[in-house]
Amino acid sequence: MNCSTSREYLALWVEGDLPGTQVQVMEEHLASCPACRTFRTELADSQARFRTLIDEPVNVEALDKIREAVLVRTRRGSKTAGGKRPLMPAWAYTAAAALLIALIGWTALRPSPEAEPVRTAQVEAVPEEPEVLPAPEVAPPEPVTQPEPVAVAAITEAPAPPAPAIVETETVVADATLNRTQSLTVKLLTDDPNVVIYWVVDQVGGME
Amino acid sequence: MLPMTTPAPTDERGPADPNLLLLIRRAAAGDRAAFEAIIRVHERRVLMTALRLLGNMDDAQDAGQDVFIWMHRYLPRFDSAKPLSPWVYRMTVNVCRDHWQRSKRNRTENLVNFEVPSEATPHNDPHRSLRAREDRTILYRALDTLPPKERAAIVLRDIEGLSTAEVADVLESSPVTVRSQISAARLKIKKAIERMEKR
Repeated sequence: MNCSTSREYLALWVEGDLPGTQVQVMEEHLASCPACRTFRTELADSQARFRTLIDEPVNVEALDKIREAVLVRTRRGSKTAGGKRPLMPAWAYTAAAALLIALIGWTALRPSPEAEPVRTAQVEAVPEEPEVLPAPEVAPPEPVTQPEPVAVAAITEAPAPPAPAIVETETVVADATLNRTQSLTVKLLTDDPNVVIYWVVDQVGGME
Repeated sequence: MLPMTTPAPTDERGPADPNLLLLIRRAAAGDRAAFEAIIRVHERRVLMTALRLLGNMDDAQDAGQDVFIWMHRYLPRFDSAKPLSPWVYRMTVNVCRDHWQRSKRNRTENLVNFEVPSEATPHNDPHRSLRAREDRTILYRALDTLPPKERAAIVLRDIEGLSTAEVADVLESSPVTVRSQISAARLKIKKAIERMEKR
């Protein structure tokens, strides 16, 4: 055994932590090594000093503070724990709210089934656009102040579902002989006499 | 509070103390007086262990609070067939390790401003008090030179008086590893004390 290993063993031996099998080897080395015997004495002194921390007095005030703080904190926790527990975790409520909003939004924004016949009518009502317009010999055009197409639904009473079915389509060519900036108006008659739908199409291609 | 007829619970290292066992069951069931009694049994060792592991009273008090909050939370899961002390020591070491990690950045500052708690000078004689205070300062500074695992091992073994096997249980390590840590720590403590006394 060399002195380095001996001192590692001594650090255990000095407090009785060295396993029995190694004690004898340790003692044999000590018997023949004065330096390690001195080291043993020094180590015993430093250990004795270190162990004086055992008698270190306790700060009673600190103990009181800890106890009071813990009791306050656990009381607060107990009230929460003992109170009315939620039926679902918070994330479940959030998910349910998000789902509800999405459902409402989808219901509000989805295309109305009442619009379907009109779309069908649009397809049927749009006339083929003439490539060459005839000479301007017909009646003067209706005054069109707004070049942009405007859809007008003349409804005299509040519409009641289901929407009236379109029974007749009448195409009124406002001025088919004029240039392409003029509008085409389609009048849609429904089975409800109070509901007449006017469909204004400009010749540029946009429609309402 | 506990009824006066109830014998004061003692701390245990072997089989569970029946009084403490009763307190644990009552505290786990929500009895606040029983929980307070358990705190009183363990508060000294928790605070002093934390003080030796962390090196200052403010951190030790914070750690002490955390230990008992954890105890309150997990006491219902505690296996009452086992002694409570190793469990409390384990929580204390783990909480202190977390505090130590958090305060790592301020470590240099702590060393510069190192101050032994004033309660460590119990003598009425001012010279003896001063000497005791200097001794404590040297010992705490020596402890502060150790890495956390060696520090925990030597505090539990030499100050708290646990056996090597108990220290290994608390630190969730092997007795061989703990012996190695204790040996290294004692040699470093000796060296640090000698170095500081030469100044």
